[in-house]
Amino acid sequence: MTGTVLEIQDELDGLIARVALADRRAFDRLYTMTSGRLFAVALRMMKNRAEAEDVLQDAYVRIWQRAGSFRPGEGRSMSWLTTITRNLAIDRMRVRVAPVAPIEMAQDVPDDGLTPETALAQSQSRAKIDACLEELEAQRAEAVRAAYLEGWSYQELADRFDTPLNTIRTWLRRSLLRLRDCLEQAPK
Amino acid sequence: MTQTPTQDDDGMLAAEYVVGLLSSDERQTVEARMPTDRAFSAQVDAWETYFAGLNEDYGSVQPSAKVKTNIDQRLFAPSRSQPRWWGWAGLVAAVLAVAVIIGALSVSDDNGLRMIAELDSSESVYRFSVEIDDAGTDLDIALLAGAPVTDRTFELWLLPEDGAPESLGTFAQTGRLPSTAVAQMQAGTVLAVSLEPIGGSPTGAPTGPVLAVGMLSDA
Repeated sequence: MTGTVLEIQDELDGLIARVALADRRAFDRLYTMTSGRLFAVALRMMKNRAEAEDVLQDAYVRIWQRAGSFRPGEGRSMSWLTTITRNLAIDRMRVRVAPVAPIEMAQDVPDDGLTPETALAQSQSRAKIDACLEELEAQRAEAVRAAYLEGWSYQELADRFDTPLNTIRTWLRRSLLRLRDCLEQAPK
Repeated sequence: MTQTPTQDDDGMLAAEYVVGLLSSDERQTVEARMPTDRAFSAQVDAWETYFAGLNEDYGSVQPSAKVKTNIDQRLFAPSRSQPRWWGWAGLVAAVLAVAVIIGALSVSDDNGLRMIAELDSSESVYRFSVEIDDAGTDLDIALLAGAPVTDRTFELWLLPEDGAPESLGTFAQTGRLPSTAVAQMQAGTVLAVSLEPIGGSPTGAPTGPVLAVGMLSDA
C-alpha cells in the first residue's frame, strides 16, 4: 500500500508540474484523481451542494492558474490542493449572510469504496495529529477538529459550544500551542 | 480582550489562519502579508503541514459532471478574454498570440540562423534565448536575465500541441542540444525552461517551477 501511495503522490506532483505548462490532459487527469476528495472538502464546509460545486470550480481554476508556484515533494501535492479548496470555502463562508443548516448532509454521505487513486492516505501525519489531539481535553480536541474540518470561526464555536467568545479564544489558542508542542516532538 | 497565552503572536495568527478561525477582514490582512513576509508564510506552511493529517477525514464525494464542464468553459472557452493575472497556462496562450504577431511582422535576414525564440515570463525575472543554426543541427540556449543556479539546474522542455512535455536536456548558463532533438522542431514549436534537481527532473516530467516559456519562429 505504501508503494502505491507514494506512486500516486509522485504522479500528482508530475501532473501539477505539467498543468503549470498548460497541459490540459494532465489537468483532466488531475481532476479525475482529486475532484472527489476536494468536493468532499467543499461539501463538508459549505454544507450545501450548489455552493460546494461553486467552490470546487473556483478551486480548479485557481489550481490551473497557480500550478507554477507549487513546490513538489514529500507528499505535499494533496495538501496543497486541499489548502486551496479549504481557503476558498472559508472565504465564502465568512462573507455569507446567514449560516446554512446542515440539512443536505444526509444524502451526501462520502463514498465508502475509495478507489486506490482517491485513497491517498497520509497515514503517518494522520496518526500523529490524532495522537496529539487525544492529549487535549475531549471537548477542546473536538473544537479544534470542528474549527479545522468545518471551518467554524471563533464566533460560531462560541455559539455552538455555548461558551463566551473570549473563553473560546483563550482555550483554542492554548490547545493549538499544546498541539504544536506535541506535533514537533512526535517522531517524523 | 483576553491576553494571548504566548509571546509568539505571529505563530498564533498563522495557526488561526490555517485552522480557519479568522474573520473575512482578518483573513485578507493575512493573505496580503504572506507574499512579502517569508518568515510568516513559513509559519503558515508549518501549520498546514501539522494539520494535513486531518484532511483524510474529509473522505471523497463525487461532484456532478457539469462542474468539470463549467471549469473547462471558464478556463478554455475561446471567446473569453483572459485576465492579466493568469498563471503559466495563460502565459503559454499569451506567448503564442504574441509570437504569431511577431512572426507575421518579422523580415528574414541572413544571420546564419534558421529559427530563434526568446523564452520569458511576466512572473519571473528569467529570460533565455534559443537559436537553431542554419543547418538545423544544433540548438543553442543561453541565459539572458536572472541569476545562474548552482544547487539546481535548468531543464529545457518541448511542449507538443497534444501530449506531455518532452525533456530536451539540462544546462547551466548556456547549453547546446544534439541534433536529434532539433530535427522535430519547427516554427511554432513551444519551449519552456523549468528549474530541476541536478541531473534533471527525476520523474521525466517537469517538477520544479517553470521559469520561462516561448515559441520558435523563423529567423
